[in-house]
Amino acid sequence: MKNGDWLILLFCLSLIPLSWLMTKRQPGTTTAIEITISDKPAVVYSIKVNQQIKVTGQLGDSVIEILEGRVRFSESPCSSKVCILSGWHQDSGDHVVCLPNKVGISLISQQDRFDGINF
Amino acid sequence: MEAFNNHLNKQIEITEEDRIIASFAALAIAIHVLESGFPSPVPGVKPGLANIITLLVLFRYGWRYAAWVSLLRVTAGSLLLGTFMSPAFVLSLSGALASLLSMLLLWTMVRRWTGLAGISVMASVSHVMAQLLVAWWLFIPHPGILVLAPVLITAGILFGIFNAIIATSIEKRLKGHLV
Repeated sequence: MKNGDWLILLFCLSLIPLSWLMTKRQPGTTTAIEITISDKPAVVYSIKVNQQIKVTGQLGDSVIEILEGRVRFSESPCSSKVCILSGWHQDSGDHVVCLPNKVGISLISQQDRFDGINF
Repeated sequence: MEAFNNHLNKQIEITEEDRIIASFAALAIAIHVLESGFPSPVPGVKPGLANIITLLVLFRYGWRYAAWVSLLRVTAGSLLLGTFMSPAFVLSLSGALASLLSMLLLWTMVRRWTGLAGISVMASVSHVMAQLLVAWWLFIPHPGILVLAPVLITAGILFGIFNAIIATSIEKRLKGHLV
């Protein structure tokens, strides 16, 4: 190994933390959640309204709870319960998915969005 | 009859250079195709063993030969795998072009200070980064895809070193042999 090799290795190694920092999500304010069941189009709910939503997935009924700007799975027919155990979610850009029941929640931020574009 | 003879005389001349490029490209294509048959634990992560051939050719014959071997491998490899002109081919080509470019820059500018290891690592990291950017730009314009960057760069460095070790040992054994 020559000196330049070490230099290149060092440079490439420094790219790892750098790329990690650059791609780290900046949590924005969540304004709404999208619930997707199987392949059906997503349904949008506001995160400001506290409510319990019952949806029917592949296996049965999942209950999604919205409380004070946070969202979680509170009941699920799946056997692993990974979705429930993942707890509350509030950062926009996050996704919670119950794969067995094919129910997905995406936390979205509707700020800075165009509501119409004209040419 | 005379016209036919003229036609025979006008055949393309096969030079020594053509022979070298063709034989190394054939080797690289075989490795490329074999490697694509192996399952990968993480999608998108593979060792890129065919680049060992590109590295060897670069060190023995220079960057023009290496560029030929690498681009022939991508094109013929995709024809054999049935991915020619598909998104997989676009990714493969962009990765190959990026790693060729970085190898060319290191080879022509700082050859005195770098060996196989540096060039191999740089090539595989630029390969990964180019593919990631192209995938983000052309296929999945979602910032989520860039989350893969740290994983892919780490794998790129590891396999870059791995390939350099293999290439060095091959180079040692080849010393004095071959053209």
